[in-house]
Amino acid sequence: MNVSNFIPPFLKKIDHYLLTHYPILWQSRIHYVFYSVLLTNCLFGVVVLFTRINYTSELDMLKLVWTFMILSVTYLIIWMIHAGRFNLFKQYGKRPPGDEYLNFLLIFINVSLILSTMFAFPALYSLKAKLSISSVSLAKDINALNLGAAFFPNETYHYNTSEINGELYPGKVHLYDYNNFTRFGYNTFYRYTFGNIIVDPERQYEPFDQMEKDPLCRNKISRHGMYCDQYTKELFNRSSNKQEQLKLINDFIKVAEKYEVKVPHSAEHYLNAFNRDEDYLYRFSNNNYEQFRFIRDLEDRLSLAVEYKTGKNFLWNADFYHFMWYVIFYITLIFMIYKNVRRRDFILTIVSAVVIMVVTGILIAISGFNEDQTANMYMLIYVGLGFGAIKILFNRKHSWLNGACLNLTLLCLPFMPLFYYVMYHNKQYDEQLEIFGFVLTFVFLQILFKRLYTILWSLPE
Amino acid sequence: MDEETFNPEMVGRFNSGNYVQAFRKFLDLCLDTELSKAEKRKVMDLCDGYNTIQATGEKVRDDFIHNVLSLYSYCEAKESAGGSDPNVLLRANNLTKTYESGKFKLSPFSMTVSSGELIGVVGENGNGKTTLLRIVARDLSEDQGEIEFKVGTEKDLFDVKGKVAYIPQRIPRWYGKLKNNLHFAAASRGVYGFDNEYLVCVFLTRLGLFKFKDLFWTQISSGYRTRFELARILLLRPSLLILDEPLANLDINAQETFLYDLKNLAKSKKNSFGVLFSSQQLHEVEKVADHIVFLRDGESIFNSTTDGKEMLLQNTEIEIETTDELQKIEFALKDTNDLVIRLKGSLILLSCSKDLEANELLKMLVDKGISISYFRDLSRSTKKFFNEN
Repeated sequence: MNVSNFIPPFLKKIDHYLLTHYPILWQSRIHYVFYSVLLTNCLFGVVVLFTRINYTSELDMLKLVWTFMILSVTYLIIWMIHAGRFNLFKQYGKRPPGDEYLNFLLIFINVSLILSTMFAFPALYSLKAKLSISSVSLAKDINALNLGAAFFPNETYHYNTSEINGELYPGKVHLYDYNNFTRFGYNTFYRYTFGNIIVDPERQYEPFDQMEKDPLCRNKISRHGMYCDQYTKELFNRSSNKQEQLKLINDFIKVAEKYEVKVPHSAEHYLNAFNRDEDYLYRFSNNNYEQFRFIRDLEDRLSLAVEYKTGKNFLWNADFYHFMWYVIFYITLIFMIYKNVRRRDFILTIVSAVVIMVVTGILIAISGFNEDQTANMYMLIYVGLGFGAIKILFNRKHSWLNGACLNLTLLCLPFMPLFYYVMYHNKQYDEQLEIFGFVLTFVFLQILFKRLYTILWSLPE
Repeated sequence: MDEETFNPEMVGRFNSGNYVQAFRKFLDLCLDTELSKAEKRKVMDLCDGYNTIQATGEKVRDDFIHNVLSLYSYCEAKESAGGSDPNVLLRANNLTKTYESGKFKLSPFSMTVSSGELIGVVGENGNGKTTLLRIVARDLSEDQGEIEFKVGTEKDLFDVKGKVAYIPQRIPRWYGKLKNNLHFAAASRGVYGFDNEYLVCVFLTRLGLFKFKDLFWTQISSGYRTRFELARILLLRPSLLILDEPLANLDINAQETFLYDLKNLAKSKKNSFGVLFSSQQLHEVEKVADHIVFLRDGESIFNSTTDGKEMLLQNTEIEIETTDELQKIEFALKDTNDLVIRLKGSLILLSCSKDLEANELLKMLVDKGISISYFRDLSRSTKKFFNEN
């Protein structure tokens, strides 16, 4: 099978243009990476487009990421093999000024693009779920459920409803007042959505009594059309005749069906039961779990819809990007090292790193070093690695040991300012020093490390 | 252009049907001449025409010949003003190398390589040819001695190695299409855009690789891999080219073509480069090399220009192959002074006083009815050193 048959003509043209005009871009294969990642992510987009949003159980993002990681890692390996084959540096070729920065940038972009395939499907699915139902529509559904909830039985043994200790659950005590209004509307939907989450996601867990005073609810209806607590009660109490009550129950059932929950009986059945016996709700629900199970299901599905709508997934989380920065930065750095040194040196660097870790680990274990002594030991090792790297300047022949020292010095440099500061001064994590470590590495990448790699590569065996 | 102004040698080549040699010579001249974009475009069109003729076997058209000759004359006129003097590229003094195992030692070795000069390093296996070449290519460090390069920024080894191209005996594998590797090689030396297309087209045609341009490593023979590697290295525009056993994978015809191509390109007027190569093909090496070094046990036992090969003439020595018995040969040459007859495999080595020329010795054998199926005069050949063992 000839792979080139799958490459569109325009991409072949771009490939040839880059090859004959910008070999440093061409060797990075950024055009192929961009194209294949775009294609893959578009494919995921199409799949997501035809995927139904599941309200019965929440999508396990982590599981999906792990699954798609197989694809990303495969892409990454294929790209590394191809991008490692052509190398201006190893051919003693003509390179533009600041080539190491350009190489870093190109590799960084490539790795970022490739790893994006790992998150594309979960991210697009989340986006679809978020957009599939509008805030207004969700508010309408909740209003309908809150207004009709009083006519349906409830699970009295559920902690939300069986708890009557007002001190522990101040927001739920009065929900047992069946004569005025069933707790269902408040206890379930209000808790997640009413007035606070959709309007102001930051205040999701504010106590109930504070929500009552929410200025957004002064006008009875919140921004998205959600009825406030008192207004819901007013509307419920106004539904005095049978027709109006039947409408409330039917609206409830329609919303339930929208979320694919089957209500066991007809609206008339529930209305008759409600009007016949004031205690019906208690007795009905306590006798048979199946009678109120649909409410639990509905509660869960609506909660999930609200979660999709308002929840923060990993993509909007700064910690996620912090983690990904490290992953991408180090893959970039390691691949750059691979492109700058002999294959044997690269392998021996990995072996040396493992040996250093094992030996220092054993040393710490048997010597009983305290924190300061351990820090001193690692500092000493780093200084030794640095000297080993600098020695390349004075070598007349190639040495894998100096090469390994150089590689390890570069790999550890981003952490060293923070390590030094934490261990010898403040003992506190400092974000600015963490950033400084990366900036320092980046600055030295061209002016010092590239110089050393150039000498190391050209030295005879 | 008036046909009378055409180069008579080129006209003669075309007239005798040797259009391949003629076109190669034309391309060599083009490579030596500063051409405008339009002229380069013309050369590329002619390359296309030449490659079509090669691929289809169709008759060479008159207009094609006319265009080649016309452009050749134009290049000749333009190029005559240029040219560069040979300059020393490398001086090596008393290089020595001993491997840790101690089994091999390269004895102090000195040499000078100039641009346009071809130096052949010969010797039996395991006698230090590769070691010497690797040291000169700065791929292997010497124990003692010094090498002074006159290419690039002298103190920067990286820059020096950019000007010194080394092709090891075992050619490193390349990936992707052949032509892409050539484009990359040219681009890596700062030849971009149209010039890149031009140079790759000319080198592909010049070295007879055009029909293989879209093939991959696994799709071409080891001989063509060598030719490809030469094309790739030449596109890197080296000042000094070092080749370890480049003829090893080539058939007898390809060996000759390869060496003559190498010689012609190395002796280019404007882009000349020095060549240092090792080989076991003594006959072929002696034909093209300006300077021959013979190594035995890491020691240079002969290190001289081909002109200095008269030094080798200490006696007359020939190599023959015959179906006749050894006694018959001894009988035929019984009156020859200082005759020594030795058997070397199926070959018979005859040595006598240098007063008797090799052709006279051959005549004597033929006159005595000895049937000769193979004959070679070794009197001035370094092959004598092989036979000494």
